[in-house]
Amino acid sequence: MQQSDFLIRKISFALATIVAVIIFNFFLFRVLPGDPIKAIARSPRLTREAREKLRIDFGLDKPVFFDVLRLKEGDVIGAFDSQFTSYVKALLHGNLGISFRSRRAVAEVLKERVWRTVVLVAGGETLALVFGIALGLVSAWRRGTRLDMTILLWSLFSWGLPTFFLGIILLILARGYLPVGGMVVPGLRPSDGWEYWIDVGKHLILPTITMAIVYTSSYVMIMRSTAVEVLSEDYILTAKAKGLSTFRIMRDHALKNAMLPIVTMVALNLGYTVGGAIQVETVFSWPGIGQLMYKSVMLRDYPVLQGTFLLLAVSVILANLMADLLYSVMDPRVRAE
Amino acid sequence: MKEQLQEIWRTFRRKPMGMLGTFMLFSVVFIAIFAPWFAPYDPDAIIHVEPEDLLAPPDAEHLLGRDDAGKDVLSQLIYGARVSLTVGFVASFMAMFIGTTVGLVAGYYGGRIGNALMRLVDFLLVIPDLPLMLVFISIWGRGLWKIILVIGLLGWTTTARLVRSQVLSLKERQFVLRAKAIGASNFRTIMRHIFPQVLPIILAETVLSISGAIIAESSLSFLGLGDPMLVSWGMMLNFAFERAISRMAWWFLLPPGFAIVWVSVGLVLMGSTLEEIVNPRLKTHHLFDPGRMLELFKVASPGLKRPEVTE
Amino acid sequence: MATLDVRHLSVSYLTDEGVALNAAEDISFQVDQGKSLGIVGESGCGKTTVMLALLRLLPEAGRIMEGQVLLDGEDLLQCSEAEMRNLRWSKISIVFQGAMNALNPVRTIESQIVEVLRIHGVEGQSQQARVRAGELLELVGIPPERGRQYPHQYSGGMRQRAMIAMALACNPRVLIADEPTTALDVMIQAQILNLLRKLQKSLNLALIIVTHDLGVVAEICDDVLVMYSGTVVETGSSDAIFNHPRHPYTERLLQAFPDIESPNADLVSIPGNPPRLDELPPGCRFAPRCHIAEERCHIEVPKPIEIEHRHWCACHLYTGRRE
Repeated sequence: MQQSDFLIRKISFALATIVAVIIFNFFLFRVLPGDPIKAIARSPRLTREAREKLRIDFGLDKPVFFDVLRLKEGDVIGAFDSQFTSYVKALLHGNLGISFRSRRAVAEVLKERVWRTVVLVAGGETLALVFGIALGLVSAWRRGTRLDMTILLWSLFSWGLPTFFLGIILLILARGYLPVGGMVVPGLRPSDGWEYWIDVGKHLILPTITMAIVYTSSYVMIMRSTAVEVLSEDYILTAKAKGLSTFRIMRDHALKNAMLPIVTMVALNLGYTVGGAIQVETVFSWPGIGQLMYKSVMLRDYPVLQGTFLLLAVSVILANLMADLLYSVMDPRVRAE
Repeated sequence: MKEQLQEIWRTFRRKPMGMLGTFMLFSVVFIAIFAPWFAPYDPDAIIHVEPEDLLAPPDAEHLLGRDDAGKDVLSQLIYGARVSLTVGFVASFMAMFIGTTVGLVAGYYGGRIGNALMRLVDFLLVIPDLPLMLVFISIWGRGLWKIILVIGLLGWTTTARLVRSQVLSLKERQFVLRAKAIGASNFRTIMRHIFPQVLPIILAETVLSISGAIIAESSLSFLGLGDPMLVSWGMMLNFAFERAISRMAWWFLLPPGFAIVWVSVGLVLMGSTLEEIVNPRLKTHHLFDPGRMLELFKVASPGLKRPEVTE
Repeated sequence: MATLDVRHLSVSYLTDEGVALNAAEDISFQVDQGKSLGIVGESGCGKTTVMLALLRLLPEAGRIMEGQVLLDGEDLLQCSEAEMRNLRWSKISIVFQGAMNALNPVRTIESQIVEVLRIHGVEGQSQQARVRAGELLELVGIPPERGRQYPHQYSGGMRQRAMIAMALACNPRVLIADEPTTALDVMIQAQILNLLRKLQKSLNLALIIVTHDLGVVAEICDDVLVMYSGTVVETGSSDAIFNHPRHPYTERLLQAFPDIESPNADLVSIPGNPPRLDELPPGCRFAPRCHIAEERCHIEVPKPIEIEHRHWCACHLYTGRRE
């Protein structure tokens, strides 16, 4: 077996999961009791023409999955002219529907907001990884000392702290010193150049720090236990016997082995990271995807909700796939599995 | 099995962190159960409020001040414990039950069932939790049982994996093979031989997952998806954030959050102590300070011949 | 002068409560250049502890209580840690038991050998170091191209040989092989032993083989040291130990091994177990299980006596004769 087999397996799993998510997403919004589209379509406040248009727009006149009658008649292609196929077709064209509230294309809204969340998450994760790995290594190396205990206790405490509450605390503490809401002071435009971006940066500080603190603690814990395990392996004793200094042993032998589970962990944590982003964006009114999801829940803007969920789920699946790929590059044992 | 649990308890009792966590948890549970005795006011009672009572800061009669409707914050906090704790416990027990069953079946039977179940686990693990919960509740509607179900139905995956890997390693052990050799049915083998071995680690995991469930509920409630009829800590934070943030009414904003932290940290302390007992981690590694190796060394002074045993 | 001269080495382990459990007591032996010493004993008798102590590689709880470890006259126990790091591998190296995990799984074999060549200044340039690594692999019968592979791509026997190649990289004076054949197939065992013997001769190594298998010792060791429960019970040439053992434990040990020349003889085992470290008997540690133990044996620790030239035994059977 080769590395390629491993990759093929992982890629097909990712694709299968994406397909499942698409079906699931569709199912959730169309078939469950309380089908919102139908409910809105039946709303008495709409005129008959508006209602008809809505029905056709959303393909509500067609069967959900496939038309049994047409299938019996032998009209296979026609039988699949259903809401589901319309949905998939639209997806493939990048059409995620129209927002109930703003009448704008969902895809457009998402595109506008995506980078804001990416910046926030990337910044927070990077800080969390750097500090988490460093503190975790120190903690493992000095296992049992007061430093280790302090780091451990602080991590346990952070684990019990809900992300949004940490945001609230920081918001209260930093009020007056740092901007606590929105992305930018009203009135500034990107055309204002440097001034605009600095202001965005200032608004980014608190949300990013919140994300960083929350995720640092989980990386510290993982790194700590991983590092202790790695440092107790036989090849570390061999390295000592070879006369290597502690620094060399850490750098040339321990680090690479310890990073492997971290990669897996980052991937696994991505789902939680997204959840954290939703909370942080809500608390700090950062206009990203997370806040969009929150708002669409509040406003019952189902197309937006559906589109956002799809985007988030697919992103996490793809990120997991990338982590798998990275892992296979880093661990030679996987390549020959 | 009973002896095993007693043994675990005996070891646990001697761990200060674990006992601290237990105290932290049970103090709140106690207060929640006996809420009417502890709460100075009844949060459901209709009261007459003056405008200055709204978001009033703490004073002698209202130790944590009043909320935006003039009600006593402390009483709401105490009664709120009931909701948060209930959701946390019930949802995580549900997740534990599902996870254990799936893990036992997947591990013991293996084969296609096992693989299929593990694929399902992988699938659920990859989908982000909070967005999925948000979507569910917003379509299904709000309500206590809906929240419990949503958290429980999504939280069993870690346990399933853990249980399965334990079962896999236990399956090949002597006592299982012996049981099967004498004709014990599968169910009996699982329940009498495998399950007791897996129970301790399930216990540790359950305690930790309760804290996860409480935090999940508080996040959902904070985002406005909690049961509107019941005021949990998360709901209090939702109200506080929406209505009191501009006034910086910290007495309304902070206590519910700290209550969540108190309970969670207590559970985490308990859970990680249990985990340490059940699944002891390595204590030392190779990169310690080597200076101590010679700290008991007695140097024979050079030149002094040691009493050699000679012919 | 012997290359390695160990005198009265004692090692203990500290328990969590701070009690020092004596794992090796008053260990003395010598190894000359070009000779091989086999250290034999049951599992847990302290052989590996002594070896780790020589290199000052004991685990965190280990404490060296006293003794001298003279390598070419220099006492290793008096060196600083920094000096020790220089000496490790370059003067004295060790091949650990069960090379499964003793090699870093995410680095190539070659890179792990090159590392040691460069650290100890044997080869400065990476190109030359790689060439030298290839030569070393060839020395142990591994095609040099395979140096670019990873440990998991090697068989168990190959990994052991790679470890040996790596251990010889800096031309050490002493090579210690801790259970070199355990966990290997019988056929591979023979290969490894032959390799060790060949290398010892051609490189004039002072070789120490630690094992619980008398057969291994009989194969390639010039001298033998028998350990029991942390003490030296008998030491002498291979010939002396196998043909005229003096200590009751050595006799029993030899009897316990099936002899191909008398296939129908009963297998003799020694009843009982070695004492626990926290329950060490006051006198001779073997006394509780010894079939000829006298009262004196339970009270007084027997000191090693030289009963013939270079054949020592620690047993009251012989202390009596001194009087």
